[in-house]
Amino acid sequence: MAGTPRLEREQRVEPSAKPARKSEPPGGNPVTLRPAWAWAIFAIIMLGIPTLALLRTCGSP
Amino acid sequence: MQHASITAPIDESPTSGASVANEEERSVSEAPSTRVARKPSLARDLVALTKPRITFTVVFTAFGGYWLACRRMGLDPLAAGVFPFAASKLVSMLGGTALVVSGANALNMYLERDTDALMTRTASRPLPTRRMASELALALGLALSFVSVPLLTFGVNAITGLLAAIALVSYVLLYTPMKRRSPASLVVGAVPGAIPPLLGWSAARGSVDAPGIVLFGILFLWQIPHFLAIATFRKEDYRRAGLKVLTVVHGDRVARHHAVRYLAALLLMSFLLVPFRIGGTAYLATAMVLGAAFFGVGLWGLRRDAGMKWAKGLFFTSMVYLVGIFGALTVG
Repeated sequence: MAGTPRLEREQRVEPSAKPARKSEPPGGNPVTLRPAWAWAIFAIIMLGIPTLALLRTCGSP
Repeated sequence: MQHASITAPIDESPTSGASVANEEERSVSEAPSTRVARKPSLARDLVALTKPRITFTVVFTAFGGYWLACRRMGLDPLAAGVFPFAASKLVSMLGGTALVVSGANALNMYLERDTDALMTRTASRPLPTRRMASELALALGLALSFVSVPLLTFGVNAITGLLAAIALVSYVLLYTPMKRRSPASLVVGAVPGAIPPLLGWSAARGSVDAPGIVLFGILFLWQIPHFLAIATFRKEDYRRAGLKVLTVVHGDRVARHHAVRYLAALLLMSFLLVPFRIGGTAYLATAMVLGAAFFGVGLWGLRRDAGMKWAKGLFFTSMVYLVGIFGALTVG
């Protein structure tokens, strides 16, 4: 590099970032409900708590 | 589109809702040029994740349901709050509703961070701009959900907790992913969007009965033309994000016909509150005048040359209708 003119060195562009893959949408990879089992557990807990409480209420005199 | 969450369709709003005065409304009422630019901070971004304006509107509609139910039982809603038990129940209902809506909104933003990056209206949110780690949004949404549903279940009653859980799960796990696949998400999202007044109703009554279901029905039917208007004037945004709203998939004309059908159903549904003695003469007069105006604007959209101006007019009329109807119910 010692013999390279200064202006030429500065104009050289380093490949600092990978170009975006063509298959990727502009917003990034599509977000999905993964892992599905984790979201299923979330739904079961959320719906299960009040359902069990409601069943207990119905069962009590 | 977003149902204002539990908060609503087309993020729109379940729940929204009436969850439904939603972020779409905000985006219409606040042009970017009029907003005061604020320096982003973690605290501000965390608050933004909960969509505070939608949350406030949902809490307000839940209180409206509570108010109407108390009046039906012959109780003064404010006097009922004086008694320690009723006061704690009311506070739990309002607090739990705010938390469950905030949680649903945070989870919605977590799941839509990719499409949000493609839409002008949402591109500056904390996740698309990568100001915040998506895991933090997920953690916040889950934490708020895990606190709010038990709070409503044990602090208010089980039926209110169950309704909130249905709104939360259907908004996050049905409506949110469905927006990418089918225009039917509009109808699915209208369910959580219409639940908030029912939360207030069931908190006061301890059950869900016919007048409460009519309130739910009014809000459900109102959301369809409201969000179809939004889907018309924001069509290009939704198309760019790949969201399958009715105007993108089937065109404006089909959407306008849908709006008119739901407006006719809304007009009839609104009259049902009179035989249930939830609404009196003032309400009936308001429902007839505003309902006719709303329906008329919808019919005007069937003209071939109806465009963006008509859609914004329909949106504006929908807001006037909702405020007028609930105002007449409260005052009357």
